[in-house]
Amino acid sequence: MAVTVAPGPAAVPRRPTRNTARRFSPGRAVAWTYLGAIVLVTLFPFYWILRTALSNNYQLATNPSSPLPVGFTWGAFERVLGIASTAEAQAQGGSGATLDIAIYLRNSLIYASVQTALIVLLSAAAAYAFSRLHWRGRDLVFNILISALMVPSVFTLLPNFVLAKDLGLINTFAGLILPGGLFQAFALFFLRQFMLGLSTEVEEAAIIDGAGPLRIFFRIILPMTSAPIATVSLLMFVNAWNDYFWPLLIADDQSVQPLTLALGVFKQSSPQAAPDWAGLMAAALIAALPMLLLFLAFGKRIVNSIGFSGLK
Amino acid sequence: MRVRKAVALGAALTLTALVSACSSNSGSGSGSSTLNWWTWDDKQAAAYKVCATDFEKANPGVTVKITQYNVVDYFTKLTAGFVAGKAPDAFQNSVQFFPQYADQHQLLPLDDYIKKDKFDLSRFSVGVDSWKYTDGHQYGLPLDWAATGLYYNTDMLTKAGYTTKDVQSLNWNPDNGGTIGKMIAHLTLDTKGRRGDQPGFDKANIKTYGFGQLAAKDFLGQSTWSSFVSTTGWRLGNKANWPTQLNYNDPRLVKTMDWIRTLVAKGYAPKIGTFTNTVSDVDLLSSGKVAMETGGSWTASTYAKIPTVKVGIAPTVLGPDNKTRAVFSNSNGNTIWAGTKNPDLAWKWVSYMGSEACQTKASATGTFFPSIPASMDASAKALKAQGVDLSVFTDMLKNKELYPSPDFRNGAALQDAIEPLIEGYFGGQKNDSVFADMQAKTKTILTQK
Repeated sequence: MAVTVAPGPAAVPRRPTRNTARRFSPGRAVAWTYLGAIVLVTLFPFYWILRTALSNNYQLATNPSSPLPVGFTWGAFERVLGIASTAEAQAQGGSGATLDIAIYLRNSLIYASVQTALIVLLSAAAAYAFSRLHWRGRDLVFNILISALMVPSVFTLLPNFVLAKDLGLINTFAGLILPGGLFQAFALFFLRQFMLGLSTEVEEAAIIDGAGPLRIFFRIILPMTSAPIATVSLLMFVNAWNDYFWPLLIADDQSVQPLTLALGVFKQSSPQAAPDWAGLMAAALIAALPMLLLFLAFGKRIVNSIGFSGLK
Repeated sequence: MRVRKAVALGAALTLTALVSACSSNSGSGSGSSTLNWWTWDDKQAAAYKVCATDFEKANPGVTVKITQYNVVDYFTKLTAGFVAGKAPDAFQNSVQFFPQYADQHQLLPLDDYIKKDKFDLSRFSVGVDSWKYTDGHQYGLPLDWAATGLYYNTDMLTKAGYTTKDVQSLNWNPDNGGTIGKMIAHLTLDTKGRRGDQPGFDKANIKTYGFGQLAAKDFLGQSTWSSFVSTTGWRLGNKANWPTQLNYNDPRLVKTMDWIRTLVAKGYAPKIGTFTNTVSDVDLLSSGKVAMETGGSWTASTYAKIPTVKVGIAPTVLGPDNKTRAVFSNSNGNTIWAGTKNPDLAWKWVSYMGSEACQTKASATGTFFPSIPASMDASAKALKAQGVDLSVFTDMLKNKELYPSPDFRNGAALQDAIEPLIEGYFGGQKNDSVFADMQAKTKTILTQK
């Protein structure tokens, strides 16, 4: 049954309000074109990664500039996820390397999250001490700690490695996590700057109410510092997740190796050998996926944190 | 409150996972019957799994664990292993690094085992001497051997009016390039379809280069200039093994390098840097960017699997005398770490890997050439059934056209010193005088302790 809608009262022509006016102007067109171009340039590499990941590795080079996957296959993803058999992987130009991705994912999660938790807890505690306690030589000690920011991490690799070896921490999570987790100059500096700005009156009120230093720290200071803590956590988590060289030195087998290391098998295996490009790209995508999810969930916060800290 | 509980639960779970992971790790790590073997070659890692399974069957209670790291990380990880006392029991080793490791006493001399087991080294046709050090000890067994050949795009060759027979006996000289020089010019195509030897050829807009990368920084020239200059009787070192200088300033090499520069200047071969290091020989040929190139024997089976491009293999060029062919060949070795807790077991595994039974099985996929002739024949046969003809390489071996790469000290330092100079030469920043510098540098580096 057709319903005819009775014409209503004569529609009042809507007066254009200032905010919704979308009149065409050359400036706006240029701005949009520019924005569009930037977005395209930014996203294109991701598309290219995906396109390569969905290609057959043997066919890939026969049509290197094809915008679509060459010889479409899910094979590369199957190789990375460890569900392709060695023979299948080799037939598609893979190495025959297989991965038990669940274990590596678990390791990466443990590594990144425990390290982040450690950094946040220890840096916040230290930052609180440096911002509140007064003692002779405090600034000197603080400056010495902060000068660690100027030491390139390559310099500390070997001493750390030898120390880890002497402590028997090679190939353990403790060895993996502790060197980066116990001290991060940046996190300390960053949190201290923020805590210096917190008013002491709240703490004094708490002291009158009978709160001790630990209680003040956990119940008052930490909640008040939650925004910068979130920033530091995100940055440190991303750092740890992407870390490659330290795990390479310290982790020997799949019981502790993080994902980044495991995916290294898809890199060029030997000089002059053709790398498994498709596998490498699929691996890169999968390794980046958790970061992508993190960004989707906390995008605003990450953008804020970059603006906040000036770090990427 | 609910959020806090969830967080607490999450933290508890993470910690449990951490603890259980740690404990499971320490349990398996101390087992004495696990034998670790490392390789940088992903394909060999897969190939030798077959041997590992057989070895485990023959030796109940023993587990062989094969680990692969890509070559960039491999030697870093190995060194870290030496320092930490956690290097693998046995591992694939490269001639470039072995003298250094032997000097550091990280390698177990195999002489006593060889004598005790009456292990016959003559079973290997190539590579045994490469693994003997200046102290007289044998530190490794050859795992494989490699040579180079000419790979060409069959369609492009036919279109240019050549038959596959024409490529089988090409000759070369540094003055006019010989028959291969003519062929390279004719195979080169500009974007308008004109050939390199036709009038109007536009060398600035090349569609297909007649030959692959010759102007490359590789200081040994294995898959670039070596097979050309070697036909003149030139050799890399002033001695077959442990040279005290490398002959970069020999007029024969200088002339060869000049020939390469003219080839590049005419647009017949890519300039240095036209393709990045990550672009492999396989990529170049299968994308149609080059019509012919020198490539390693280890890529023969890969070319055969490219679905849309037909690639043929020919032997490398004959020299100016039209009969000498000389190809640089190298062998990776299998060595045992001096710090292994199971030297006897490690030797058992290494010597098993050096047996005909294992080599034949592992090389069936054609990803490497075994050093044992009978295994090589079996491998060639298996590959022939898959349509890959390796006779070019086996003939070189039989005709004694291969010569082994020299063992030399300080390989890494040498590479670091020489490659920028070669790069500068091909990049046009340096002229022929660079070769005297290079030779002088090798003298200093090779005689350094």
